[in-house]
Amino acid sequence: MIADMVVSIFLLIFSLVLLNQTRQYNYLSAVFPQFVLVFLMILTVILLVRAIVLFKKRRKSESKFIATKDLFYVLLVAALSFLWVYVMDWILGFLLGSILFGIVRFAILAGKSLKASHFLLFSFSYVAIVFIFWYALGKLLHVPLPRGLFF
Amino acid sequence: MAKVITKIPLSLLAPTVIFLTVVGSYCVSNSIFDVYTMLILGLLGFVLRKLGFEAGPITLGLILGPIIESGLVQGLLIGRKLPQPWLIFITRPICWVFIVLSVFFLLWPVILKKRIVVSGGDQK
Repeated sequence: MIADMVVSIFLLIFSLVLLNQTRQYNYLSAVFPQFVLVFLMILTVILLVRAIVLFKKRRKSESKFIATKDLFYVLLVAALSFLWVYVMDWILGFLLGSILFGIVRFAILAGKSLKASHFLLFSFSYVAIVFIFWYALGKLLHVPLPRGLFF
Repeated sequence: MAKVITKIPLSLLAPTVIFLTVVGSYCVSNSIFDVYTMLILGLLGFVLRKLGFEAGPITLGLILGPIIESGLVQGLLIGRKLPQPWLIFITRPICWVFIVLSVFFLLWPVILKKRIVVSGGDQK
């Protein structure tokens, strides 16, 4: 309910700012954004009113947003993904970066239950998948993949 | 087949899916910026999902939005001959058919809920 209130206030401000921006456009360019934004504002006001009404009737035992352990893994995987894209673009290139970070992500997510045979099986399969994409996109379709420092 | 797919562990599925999403977003216009955008929007989608906002309507909006916009502008251009361009959307019988159908499908969940309440919750 508090989340609904925060989201609705944010959306209300967001739509007001964008509605103000659409005044610079001509009629035909602005008509659809204005229509959508006005509709969004109406729905946001309904959401806000509903959130306020439900907030008054709330119970104290509300569920948590997400378990701390899960949140840790989500943030870790997200951070690794951002790092992977950065490193892929500047240092390692598409092939090496994808293989390295894919295997690291697998090892982190598998945790303590990881067996050596599973690790090897996944690594070989993942390397094969990445290699197929690298060859198909980079060599056959001539898509300019990130090269990094190597290839 | 579906049973096998649902039993694939997350640790195997997640790296492969992340790889495919990165490749897919990069290949749209060969730009790393698109990949960063995808990652940020993915995180935003995750937060919204946890807050109770469904991804389905957002995806539908992203796909149907440009189609609706071009249809609306085309309609308004055709309706320039009328006193008000907006009248083009209510002056033809086919428009009313679609308006009535839209209202019906908008109200259908409410009607269904009422019917279930009246019949004591037996209907599905």
